[in-house]
Amino acid sequence: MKSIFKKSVCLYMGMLLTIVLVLASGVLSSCTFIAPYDEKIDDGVSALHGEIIGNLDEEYDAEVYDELLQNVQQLKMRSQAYPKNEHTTEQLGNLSSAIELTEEIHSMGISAADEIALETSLNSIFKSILTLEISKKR
Amino acid sequence: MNADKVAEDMLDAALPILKDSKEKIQEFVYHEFDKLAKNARFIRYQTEVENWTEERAKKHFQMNILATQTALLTVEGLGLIAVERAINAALQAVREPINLAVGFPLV
Repeated sequence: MKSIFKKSVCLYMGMLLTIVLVLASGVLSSCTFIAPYDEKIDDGVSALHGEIIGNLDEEYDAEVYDELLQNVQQLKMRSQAYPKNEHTTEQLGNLSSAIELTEEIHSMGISAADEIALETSLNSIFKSILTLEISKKR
Repeated sequence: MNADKVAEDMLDAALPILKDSKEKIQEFVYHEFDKLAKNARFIRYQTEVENWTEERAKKHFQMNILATQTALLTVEGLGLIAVERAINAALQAVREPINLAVGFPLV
């Protein structure tokens, strides 16, 4: 009885050691500090860029902005689903705030100077998000 | 196993990646911050000379601040990716000698 117990303990310890070694090997083999590339976020952000810049030349339409904000929210939720993706999630939150501000300026009446300033800020936000996303390709 | 040689090999594998990444990050930061600084000047000019209202100017400045924050998040993320690539390259460089030395696949 005692020997069976000893064998079981040895077997258990052996299995535990194997698991620890496999885990240690996994940790040492490679490390990841940031979420993987997501093609849907890349495509979604690129599509939004074209839509929002094109919309600056149009008459103010609250529904267009609602749709743009919904699309960003969907991308943000997708981004949140990945671990280690806080940077992209926060960037998409900034994009959402930027679209709200753009809507406020658009609703007040938009001039050529407004368009120049808005395009510069928006282009920079989109470029930042896409640069990080594309850099995640491994 | 020669520990000095292992450390040297790891460094040789990691350093070019860190150097290359540093140049790419610097290029990104320079272009984006230059554009955003010019945009801030443009907004100020519109406010002082072209009589933008305070409300309009504030919204544009908020947009510029959001763009700057978003660019900084990219810089931070690119830094993480660079460190990740450098560590993985260093591990890859010494995988074989370490595994041979310990007699099982540790790395």
